[in-house]
Amino acid sequence: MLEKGKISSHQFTIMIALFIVGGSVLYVPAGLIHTAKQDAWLASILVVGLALLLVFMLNALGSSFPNMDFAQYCEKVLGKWLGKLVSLLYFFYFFLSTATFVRQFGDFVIIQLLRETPILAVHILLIVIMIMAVRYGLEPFSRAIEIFFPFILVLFVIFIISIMPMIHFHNALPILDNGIKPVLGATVKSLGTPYLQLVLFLMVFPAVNQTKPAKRSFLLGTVLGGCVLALVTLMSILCFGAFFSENQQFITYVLALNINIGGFWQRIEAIMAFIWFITIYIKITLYFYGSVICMGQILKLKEYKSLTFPLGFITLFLSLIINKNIVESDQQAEWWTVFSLPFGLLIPLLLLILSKVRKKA
Amino acid sequence: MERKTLILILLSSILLSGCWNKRELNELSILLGLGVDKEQDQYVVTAQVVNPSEIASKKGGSGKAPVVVYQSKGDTLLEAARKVTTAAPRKLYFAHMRILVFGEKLAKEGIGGIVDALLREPEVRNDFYITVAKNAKAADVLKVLTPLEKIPANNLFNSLEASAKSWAPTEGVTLATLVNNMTSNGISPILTGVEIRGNVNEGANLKNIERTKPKTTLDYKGVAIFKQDKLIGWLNESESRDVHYALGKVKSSVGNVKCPQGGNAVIEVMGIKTKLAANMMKGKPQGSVRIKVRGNVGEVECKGLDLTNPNSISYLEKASETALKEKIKLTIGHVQKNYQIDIFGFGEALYRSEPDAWKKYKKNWDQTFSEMPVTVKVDVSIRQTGTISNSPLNNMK
Repeated sequence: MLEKGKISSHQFTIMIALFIVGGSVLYVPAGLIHTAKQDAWLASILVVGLALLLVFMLNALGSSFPNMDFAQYCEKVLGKWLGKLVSLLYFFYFFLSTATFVRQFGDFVIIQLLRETPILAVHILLIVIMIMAVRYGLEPFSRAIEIFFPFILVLFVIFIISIMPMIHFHNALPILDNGIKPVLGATVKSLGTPYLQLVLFLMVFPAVNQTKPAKRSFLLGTVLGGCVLALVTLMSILCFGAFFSENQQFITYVLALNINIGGFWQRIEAIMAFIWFITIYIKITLYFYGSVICMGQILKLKEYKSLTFPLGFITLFLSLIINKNIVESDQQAEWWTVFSLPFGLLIPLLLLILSKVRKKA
Repeated sequence: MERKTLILILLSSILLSGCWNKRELNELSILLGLGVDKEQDQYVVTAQVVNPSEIASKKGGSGKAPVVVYQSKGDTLLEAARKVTTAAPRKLYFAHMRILVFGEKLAKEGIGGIVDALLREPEVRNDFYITVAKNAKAADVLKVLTPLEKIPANNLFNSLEASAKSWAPTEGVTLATLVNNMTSNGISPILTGVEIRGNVNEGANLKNIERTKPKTTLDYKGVAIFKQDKLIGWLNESESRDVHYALGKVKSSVGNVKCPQGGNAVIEVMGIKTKLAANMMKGKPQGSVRIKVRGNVGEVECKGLDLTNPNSISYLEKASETALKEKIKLTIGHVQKNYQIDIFGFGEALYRSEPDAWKKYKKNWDQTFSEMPVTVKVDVSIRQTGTISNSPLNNMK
């Protein structure tokens, strides 16, 4: 174990919930609505069910090796070289994701807030605090998340209440106009972002101080995060209708932009920006943490801090070249589900089966 | 190690901070009204910009105009908007825009291109209203100075809001609604029209607002009907009100009723609830509008109406029901016959209630709409009669 710190199951729940919300809260609704139109909210609820099945599987895998992280039992189950190879693949997966989300963050800031600022400047600021958090370790980081959580919760509630007056229920009609197929399509697509990414938490799982509550936390966190996404998707449809929503880059932000109660409770889109900044920061840091630990295990290092600076700088440059423009980023979201499938589902499933078979034999 | 980190952070805070995007108030031209016209093949952008020194000072300023109007031409909207800087000392700032005016000529040729630019621009919010200049250029509308509200764009915005609330021939349409209706098959957009009454040049002069009755004023008049993004016709004031009744947009208004022995009584509308629906009847689409009106007796200008008698109230209810119903029916028929375009959203209603049938009619909906029977049902309930019961007219012999 490279990680010496311990986190509580409570912190684990919050971490998972915010991880799911992070990044997705701005992008996922529009993508879902694009596929399933006004029934997208159905898809976003269905997918939580699927995600729970996935989490059951990840839980089973995590609790069969309660004191090892994912990269470690990869080697144990698959043998030294094959195991290292798989760990290396996971390292690339986590690392690419880190860069992708850093870029998402940069794109949003450049498009909506600081239009003339070089994206590099935004990325450097983010990556510096990301490296800092990973160097401090998981324990202080989870405490920081715990401090942020109530703020995010309160702001989210304020946000939802503030957009209530814009609701028009007829926007959700007719239900299931194009049949169930697009809804299922959207469900599967939405499984990729963000739920298949939950495999990352197999790197964190052994750090939770008790295994049994950790399993419950994993499920609870997923449901919490999923509910937030479902609520946001539903609100986008009810307030703007499918037609307007699917064409927006950041529909949730546009919702916040349109808040206007009585002519004075308005222009509070910073609420949404705050929620999004904090949650995507948590997501990016966890991804980076995952890739650092993964690399550390592959190289059999005694401590992982020495990796943070080199990998951090690579992230910085990778994030600048990973996508040429915003259209490519959107395209990436389309094929990312397929790309995530082996990492998020197939390989963990294979490991679980292999480990069970080995134990019996 | 710790020290190194600290140095790194301090260094980055020095190197990275600062104000890349700083935009101080005194570097911005705060745009409140935007007008777009078309001349030959070029867009003409008219920007009504606040003159801060006139607005800020409490002593009434130095007698200069409270706003400045800049104008420039360009092949595209953004080009024209940026060209404004050749005349204005500062870059235009769009986030406080209150009103967007389209010139009638431009509206007839299509507003689609402009709408895209506004949706794409992150500075532009969705809280301004959109109108069409009737028989005028948008540029002229923005030149007219207004009393009470120092800034004409604010005047336009507030007057639209006030009249939408209390008289109902107007409705503030925002960008999101306009785009939704422009792109939908089942509903076509309408925008309130604004008219210049009087001479533009006199209206642009500060003297205009020094009079108790300004020579030139801006009035909202009627509603412009659009087919997708092109203006195809106008509805007059009373037709506009009927349309807003059918759309359920009326918050308050007044309506006249004929008394049994001649003269008028006025019903003050306190609130309405509209249910606009479309259904399939014997294989054909059919529209229906059901309006529930809650009102008070606001004015009695006729003798012989005994308001202490419940029968008079039910008479007034009946009479106003028929009057309103006939008017709305007439207007819907007028739109069906003369414009053949669904500005009411019967198409969307059909899509919601019978999505399968909608697929068949989607392609040619406006044609179907113009031949579709529409039933109108109005239900008026009168609650109060104001602070007096019988009219003093009754006692005059």
